[in-house]
Amino acid sequence: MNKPGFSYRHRLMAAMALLSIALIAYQVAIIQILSYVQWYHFANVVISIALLGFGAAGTLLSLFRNRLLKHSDKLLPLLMTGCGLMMVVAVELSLSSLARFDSYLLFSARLQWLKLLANSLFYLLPFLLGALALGIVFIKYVQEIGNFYFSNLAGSGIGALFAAVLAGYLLPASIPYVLALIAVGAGLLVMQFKRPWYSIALILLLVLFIAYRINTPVTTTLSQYKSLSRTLNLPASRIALQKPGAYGLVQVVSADALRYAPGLSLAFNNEVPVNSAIFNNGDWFGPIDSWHASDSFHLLDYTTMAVPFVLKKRNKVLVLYAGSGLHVSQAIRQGASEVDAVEPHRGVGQLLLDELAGMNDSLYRRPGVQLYHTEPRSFLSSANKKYDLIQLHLVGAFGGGVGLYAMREEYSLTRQAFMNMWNLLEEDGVISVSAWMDYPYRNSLKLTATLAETLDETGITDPRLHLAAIRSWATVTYVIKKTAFSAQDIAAMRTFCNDYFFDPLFIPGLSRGERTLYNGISDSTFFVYQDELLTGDREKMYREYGFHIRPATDDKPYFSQFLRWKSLPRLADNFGSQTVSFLELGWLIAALSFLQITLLAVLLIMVPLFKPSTRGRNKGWTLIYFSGLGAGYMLLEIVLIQQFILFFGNPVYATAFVICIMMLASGAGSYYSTRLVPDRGIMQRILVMIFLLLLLYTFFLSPLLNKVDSYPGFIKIAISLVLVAGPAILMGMPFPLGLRKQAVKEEKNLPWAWGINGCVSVISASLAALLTVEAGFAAVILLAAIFYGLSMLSMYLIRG
Amino acid sequence: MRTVNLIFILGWLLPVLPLQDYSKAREAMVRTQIEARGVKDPATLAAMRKVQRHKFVGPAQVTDAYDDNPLPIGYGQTISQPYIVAYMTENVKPKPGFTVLEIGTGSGYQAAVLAEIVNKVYTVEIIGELGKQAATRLKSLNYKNIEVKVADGYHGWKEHAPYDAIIVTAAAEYIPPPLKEQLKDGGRMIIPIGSPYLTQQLMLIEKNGNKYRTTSLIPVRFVPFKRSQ
Repeated sequence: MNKPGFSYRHRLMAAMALLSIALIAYQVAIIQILSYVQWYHFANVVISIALLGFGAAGTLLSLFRNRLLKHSDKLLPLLMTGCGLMMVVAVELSLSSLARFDSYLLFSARLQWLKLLANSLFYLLPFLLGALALGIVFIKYVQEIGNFYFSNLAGSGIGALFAAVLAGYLLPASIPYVLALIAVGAGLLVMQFKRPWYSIALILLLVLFIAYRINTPVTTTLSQYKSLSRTLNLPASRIALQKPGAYGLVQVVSADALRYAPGLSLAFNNEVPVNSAIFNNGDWFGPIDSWHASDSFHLLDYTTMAVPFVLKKRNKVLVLYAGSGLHVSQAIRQGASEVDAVEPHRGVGQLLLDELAGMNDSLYRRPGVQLYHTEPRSFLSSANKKYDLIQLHLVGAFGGGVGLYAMREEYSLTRQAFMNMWNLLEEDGVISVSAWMDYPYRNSLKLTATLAETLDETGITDPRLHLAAIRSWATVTYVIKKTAFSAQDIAAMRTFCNDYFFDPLFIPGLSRGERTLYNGISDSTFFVYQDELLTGDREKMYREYGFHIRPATDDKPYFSQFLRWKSLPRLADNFGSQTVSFLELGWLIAALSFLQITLLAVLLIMVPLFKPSTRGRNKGWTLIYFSGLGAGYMLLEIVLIQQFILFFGNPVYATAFVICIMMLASGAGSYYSTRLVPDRGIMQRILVMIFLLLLLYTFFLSPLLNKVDSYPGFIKIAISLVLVAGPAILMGMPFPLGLRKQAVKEEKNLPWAWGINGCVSVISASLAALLTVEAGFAAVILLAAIFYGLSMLSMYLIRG
Repeated sequence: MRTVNLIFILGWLLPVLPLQDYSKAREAMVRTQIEARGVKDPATLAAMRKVQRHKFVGPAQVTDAYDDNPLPIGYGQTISQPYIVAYMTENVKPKPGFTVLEIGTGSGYQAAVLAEIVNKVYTVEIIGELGKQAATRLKSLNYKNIEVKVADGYHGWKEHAPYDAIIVTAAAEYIPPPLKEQLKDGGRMIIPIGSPYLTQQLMLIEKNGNKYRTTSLIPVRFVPFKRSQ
């Protein structure tokens, strides 16, 4: 085995770290770009195939091991600079008019599938070249794998942070070019300068082009079906302001015909004001409330969302997901003296405090209004104030949407969230939440179920006395009240309905005919289901209804996940197969993505088995051991990210923190592993420790995080560090130890083992997303533990 | 060389050949997609049989024009599924003397179907290019009782109000107050709810003096979704 010279070895380690920074940050950057021009889900489809570049690199190394290792000194700088070059080429091609795909047309135009595939292949190339460079180093210097793996992991950890930092300063389309520079820099570090001029001239050209592109980013053309595109089609529309940020690209659009009045009453006879609107990553975020303190009316007073104010004046109001402040201005208009507004999107909040303050009469700077940049659940855990009204955002999308949010954690709509809110209510306080009416009925049914279960949990015996709901042609607003509704409350709600052409869905003492006085529904099963959920056999409804309407919990915080696999054939019968695709798009794409990745990964793993020269002993051990490590690591990583979103109150920071700490800690573990002998006993002991630790996490992680959620920030960070780094240090050891063991037992298997680990990691990332939705976080951590257990047991299969 | 020429000629001819079958395709569309789903109004069915839908879509969609789907027409807009067009038409109960306002001209297909039945159709399109294309198309197809205006549909078309019926073809999160004012007493307005590919729900608004009643209609043969069997 070659042992590199001192300085070269250090340059190689530095190059590995740089390349890893570039690769991880590039992955994040591509997701940002594709989320902007298309949707997050399609970004994931593209990127998951692209990441199979790691698996493909393993397969190539298995097949051409000797040739690749023999020329490694020349190949490494070529592969690294090639990786940088391909980072640029992939972005240029993917955004060109030739290959640009439109995900909305996937189910109606077959050509779009080809374009989607082409995009995946473009992005596969940089990952393939980068991974090949990493793989060659791992295999060639396997006896020092601990050090090189450390470089790789530490670089990846820094890359995760770097991506978040870059997103705050550069437009999404510029970021890949910065990362390409880093990859090229890695190549230069390990370049043998024998005939440097050709290489330097070429690299200089590339660097100049990259610098040009950072300054003048490639044009990003959005899908014509994205809400930003459709808004820009309006007359005299223009992007008035744009700001990159860790949450995505925020753009403010003004147009002469842009109005927002969700489910406005037909009794409204005034002019609907023209608004500007905020878009995040090309998706609708919200209108900029054109409210002014001297306005004679507030639009929301003509919607069902005015119900809580009809009952009583609300002095202390908490608005969750306050966005651009529509509910905040409504509360002020209705006489609230204190309004706490919680908006996790820091970029938007800051804009409304500063540049856009003039548009809504400096709403967030008014005395009595306080804006908090945190996740609503974190606010609820730490709040020590009581409220007369807790107002939630409008749930669902107009007309029912296309299920794109099915895979998104919504911690403010879980049963536990409503209990937290309940505990913050004044004696006469109410929680108000509204939903768009949809069809087939989903959002409103799940809300009824959630509120009914919340009332059960508070010990209220007759929920009908504490829950009211008012329906318009487009929305339904629920109010749950700590004390029973009085006769005066009921009369006020009836008058409200009559004045604004709304109908009561639930009020105490409701008569049957009252429900459809102004707004009829052809499919009246809506009312049957609603009643059954509130006062009938709720469990039976959960079991039998065609969609998943059991309330979301903190362990499965996916309120918008409604799809039940067993219902698909019936849905297709009722709505047609094309429509069904759009009914639950988010979930279907995730499932489709998982299937295609699994298929491709299995192929990549199997290919080397057909080449005689790669055949050797211990294939069974290699397959189980390295699959177990890849799957266990990735499942835990994804679950920790999801769980720490709630804990940190911010998805971007949670993701950056978890990836960074896990990678650095695993890097440290890998570094430490160089002192250990790859002996079966030692390896099994480490794996048993990981298994037991994850078993503990299965049962105690969530309760522990809930317990310490209200602690001060620095204590939370310290606890998080221990919880993430603890298992990660241990989890950084089995992989390098395994490769060293492999080098002793069957060296030919080394590239295959590395490829298996890469392939299974990608499959598991996709699987984790599906599993958490279906089975919950605890089940996924348990599965991660089982995978590590399997790796441990596989050690008994080692022969020779 | 001859073979090459033959392939070349066939290549040009093949997309044109199905043209001969468009009337059959239209008849099949009415029978299997529209009548079979319960649309009964003879005037609506006759109009759907007459209007050449394939002339309202782009060249790439011509062969799919009579499929049971919405089709893209650019600018993020679609030409509605044939059944939805028929269902909306039937539900405004169009009669020969009617004046109808359409908001969202799009390709002009819905306006053409209405124009086969009623006296006059006024249609407003907010996207300039689409409006111009539709006006040219309708003129070339000799529809003299349709007027197209490029403007913000929010304001309706006050000069020709009141209308016996109003059809809003683009989903709206609110009903513009000027539209309900421009609707005749006893008139009917219909609005789809949902994304372009998910037009499952239609909203009917009936005006009765100063009062309005809405009904959420379901244009698909929907079996109540509770699984009890």
